[in-house]
Amino acid sequence: MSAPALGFSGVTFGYGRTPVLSGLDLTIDRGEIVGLLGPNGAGKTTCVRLASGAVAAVSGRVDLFGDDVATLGARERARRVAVVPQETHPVFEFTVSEIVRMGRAPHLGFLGLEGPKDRELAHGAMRRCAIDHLADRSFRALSGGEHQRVLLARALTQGTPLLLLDEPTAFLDIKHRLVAYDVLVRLRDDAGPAIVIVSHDVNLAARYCDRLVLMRAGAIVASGAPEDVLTRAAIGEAYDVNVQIGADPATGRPFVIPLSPR
Amino acid sequence: MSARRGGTPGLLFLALVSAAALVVAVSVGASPLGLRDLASVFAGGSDPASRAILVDVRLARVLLAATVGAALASAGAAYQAVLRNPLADPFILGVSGGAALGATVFVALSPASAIGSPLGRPLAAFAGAAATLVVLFGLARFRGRTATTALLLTGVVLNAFDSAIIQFFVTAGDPARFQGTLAYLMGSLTSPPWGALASVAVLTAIGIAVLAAGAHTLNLLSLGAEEAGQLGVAVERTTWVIVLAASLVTAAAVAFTGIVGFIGLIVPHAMRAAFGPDHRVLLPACALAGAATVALADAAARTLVAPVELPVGVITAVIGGPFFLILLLRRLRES
Repeated sequence: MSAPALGFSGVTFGYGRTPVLSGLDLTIDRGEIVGLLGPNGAGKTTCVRLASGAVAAVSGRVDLFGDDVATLGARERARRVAVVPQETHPVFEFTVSEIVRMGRAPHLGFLGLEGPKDRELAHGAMRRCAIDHLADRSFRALSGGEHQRVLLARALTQGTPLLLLDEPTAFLDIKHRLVAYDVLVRLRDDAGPAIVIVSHDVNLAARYCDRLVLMRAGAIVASGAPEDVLTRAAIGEAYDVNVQIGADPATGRPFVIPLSPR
Repeated sequence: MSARRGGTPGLLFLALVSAAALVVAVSVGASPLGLRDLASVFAGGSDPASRAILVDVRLARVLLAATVGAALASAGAAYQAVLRNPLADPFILGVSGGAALGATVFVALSPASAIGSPLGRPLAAFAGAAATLVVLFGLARFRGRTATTALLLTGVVLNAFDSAIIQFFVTAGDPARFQGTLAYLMGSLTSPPWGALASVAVLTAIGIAVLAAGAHTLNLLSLGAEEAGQLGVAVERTTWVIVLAASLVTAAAVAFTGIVGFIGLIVPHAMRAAFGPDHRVLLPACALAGAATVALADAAARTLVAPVELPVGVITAVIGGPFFLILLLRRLRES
């Protein structure tokens, strides 16, 4: 009954002839907030695409709550896992509220008409992400940071027990980065979904995540509590940089100070 | 800037305006019969001659025009969403040309007993449209955003190819069979037999019903295949269902009328400006406005240089051509 939220076992994948993942094993437990770290090209986004069924593993198996993702229909998959992509480029002038309400899609009936409950959920998600004042604005007219908050609200509206966020804070300013992580931690405490955050902001991930997974070249270099993963040796190996490890004055967790590239 | 959203009251208003447009279209024509005569036909107090003109000649033709308009506008909206390209239109993509080729081959080669069947031409047109889609999507492959230039070039080439074969059959074929289809390449309306009108109307209704049921999915598909999949759409299967439905209505529109261009471009753009891009509202709006637009364009085609009738395709191309160029310019400036 309590199969993990997400399980990769022996997953191999590549784009064309370029291998990205070779025999990856990774488990995300229910209710866990995991930061997925690593340099560009490490395979983090590929993990998100495999877990959401956007691409299929060449070999190995990806499980969502105990079921092979390849055997789930698109609708059932979208009821189990929601994705916050790095960016989206709608060709038409949808409003923010229309984009957020699209999160209800896998729950709607044959004609795709929303009920009052769907609208209430969408509105609640917009409030959580502090974008309710943007509801009637055209999505395309907003900034990159605002886009990310809208996409986060859409994922919350989807109401899934697993959330995958692909660099959700890349375009956010300092304040909204903190707001976004607070939203995620509070969401987990209220509703309990497992959350995987792909991030380049090592220090924020260390502060908010229960566990960090450090990847390099399609393999896991280290996995565990922030104290155990963010060591000089592991960071050095994964990113090819010299760092010093301090302590986050707010939480006492490790704080990475980059010194020089290797 | 927030787009204007009308929703249900807006659609009701549009339905009234469109109905009024159809009444106006029935009331103008070569013979001096107007609104008053139309009213007396419905009151049952008119002579058989004017009744025949108003019902069998004008009403049948206006209903065909309305069906063709509803079909082409809905198909345009659907193609634009699925291809993520606001310049897509059944004519520009070459789907109308493929349908016209299918219908032409049917007229040229079918056994004499089948030629008059109301379903023969539309189904042959559908085969032609579907074949065009395979070529089109073979190039575009559903993946990502189809490059505008590739799409437009493919359409140009397909249209040139289809026109050539159509010209061949019309020129070399049996003239008796091609009577009345001379203006096929520049779509023109005639007063159809009721059987043909019924078959076009039923096929269009089926296609539009399928598109309407998938309206919400069109919203998601317009975000791109990967995102639509992550929001629960079975992308490949749904895309095929939608493009086939759009091609069915295109084929129905082309079968007895030929190629009426640009309706699938102009109407969806105007309706998106008025109602926003949500296809649950946009599709019915396109069907209503498309019906009114082609009915009025045909009324103009009948009266502008009366007693000679212009093909309705002349009117839509004269308006649609510059419209397309403006959209293309704006798009090129954006990128």
